[in-house]
Amino acid sequence: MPSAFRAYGRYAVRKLGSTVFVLVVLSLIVFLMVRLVPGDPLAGYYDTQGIPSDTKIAALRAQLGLDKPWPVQYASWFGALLHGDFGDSLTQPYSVGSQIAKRLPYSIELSVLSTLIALAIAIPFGLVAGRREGAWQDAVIRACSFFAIAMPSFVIGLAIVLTNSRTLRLRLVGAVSFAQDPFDNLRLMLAPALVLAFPFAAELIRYLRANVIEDLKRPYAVTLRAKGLTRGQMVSGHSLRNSLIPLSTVVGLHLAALVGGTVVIENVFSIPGMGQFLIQSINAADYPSVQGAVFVIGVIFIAMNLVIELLYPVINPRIGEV
Amino acid sequence: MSDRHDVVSASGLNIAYTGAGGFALRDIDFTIRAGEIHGIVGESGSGKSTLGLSLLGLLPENARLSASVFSIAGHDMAAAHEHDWIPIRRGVGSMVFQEPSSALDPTLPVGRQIEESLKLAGWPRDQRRARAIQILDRVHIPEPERRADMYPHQLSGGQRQRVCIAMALAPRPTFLIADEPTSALDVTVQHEILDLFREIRRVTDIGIAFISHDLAVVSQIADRVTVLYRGGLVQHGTVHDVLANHPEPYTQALLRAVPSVRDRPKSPFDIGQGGAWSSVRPHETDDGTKEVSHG
Repeated sequence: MPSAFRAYGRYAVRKLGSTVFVLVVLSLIVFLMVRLVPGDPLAGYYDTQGIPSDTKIAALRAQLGLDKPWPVQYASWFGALLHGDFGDSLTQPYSVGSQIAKRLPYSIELSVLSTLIALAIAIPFGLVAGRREGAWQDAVIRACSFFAIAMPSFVIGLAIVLTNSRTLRLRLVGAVSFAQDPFDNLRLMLAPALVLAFPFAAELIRYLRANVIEDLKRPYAVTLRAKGLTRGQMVSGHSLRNSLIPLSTVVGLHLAALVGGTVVIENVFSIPGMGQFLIQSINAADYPSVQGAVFVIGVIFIAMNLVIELLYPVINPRIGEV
Repeated sequence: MSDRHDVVSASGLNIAYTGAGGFALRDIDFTIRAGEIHGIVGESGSGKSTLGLSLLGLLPENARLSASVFSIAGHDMAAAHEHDWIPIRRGVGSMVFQEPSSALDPTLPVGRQIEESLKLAGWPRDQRRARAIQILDRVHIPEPERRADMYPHQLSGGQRQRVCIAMALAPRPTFLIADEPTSALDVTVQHEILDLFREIRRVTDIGIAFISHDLAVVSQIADRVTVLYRGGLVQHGTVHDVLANHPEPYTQALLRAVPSVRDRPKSPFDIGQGGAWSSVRPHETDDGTKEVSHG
């Protein structure tokens, strides 16, 4: 049906256009936000002659371009950004781009892995809980998911690390890049991914359960029953499909949030990801690093949102035509 | 259509909802014969939908059913559980509902939904698609191959109801319950769907229970009619007997409620003596208690 493809094309172009606009606004907000936070990147500066004089600091400030008005600074930063240049760190001897390139893969891998684990846990248990609303299976699943949501993830993480150090003594802490050794990489990522997956899975279970229960009360469920479907067939054949639309939003946004929001777990398991980089840069008032990190995390958020919106018409045929 | 045996037969049927107090249906005798349309008429709350749902075991969980005879396609279902009903629903009896817009899964093409019914009724995989398209054609959906791949929202209300009817007929059931199948449709579409029901009766041997609040609709297409009022049986018999020759007082009241040009009020504020609903009430005695006749 070419008309359907054309409608989808129009839908996609519209969504892409609004995404570009959001990206520009994001870069401006990130830039201004960083400058509103108190702190001076040159406050802790000293060289081989000890603490430098005020004139020398002023010269450095001019050299780094920090004396110019903010619109000029923004224009030069955003201009370089369009060429893929994030600038150099003010406090460390590296370029921001190289740091992000090194750290982002760990964060993305951790987020994707924990999302996959969460889905693998949540879909079967969520469907069972919804199908057996009020029965003992539902009660057990709900109690477990309540516990997993209530428990802070670093507590579970520390418990795993401590228990391991006294018993199995597996190497759980640290990170190896995937390119270097894929097997070691996955082995070390598994524990933090599991820790991040539990509360996520619990949240998804509750969400899926509520959706299934609601779906089974919709009028078409009576038609399905009249066709001779069992409750299990109704859930697996229809309610899951109908619940995927709201579920995809929750999964996508949570996945994006994980990329920048795993600071605590990165610390527990000593993973050099985006969260650690961001915290270090904020403490040093390292403007280009904070700007770069926040911008990249924002881009991932927006990109996930776009992916979800482009997937909607595939899951739900009613969107994209109106 | 040689033999007109009963495909559904109930006698002394009582249905009560626990906690509700009182019966939804009491002492009902009802049959559907192969190849006939049996109209079930009554106002809302008369128990006509309860009767329809009970014939496929679709009553809510708090419903309690008892009957001296409750035979569905030759099976005694008086004490049946949910799992006993599943083989009946898979291809023996089907149902068409009032709202075609909410009766279909919005995320699946309609052809797939018909194929699902066929699969449940045990049709082999390689015949399902062809049968789905054939039955869409039989209910006069134009371009059935193309329409089979469409989603419910891409079809009009009348076409959706045709899809629901096609889905119900696809596995060649013995009987069909149609619960107000035309009430949610425009008047012109209503007529087309009624024509379709007439055609189904003419070319198949299926027994149809046609539930409606509209006596005019039922009188047009039914062979026999059962009139219910507040869970009780008012009258049953052939359409001709019930409507033309010997209508009971309540049936007469229902007949009077059918609007006609002649006694239309002159203005919306002209509600006549006894209030707006006086014409549909069964005759009320002077002390306000209601009398309902049993046929």
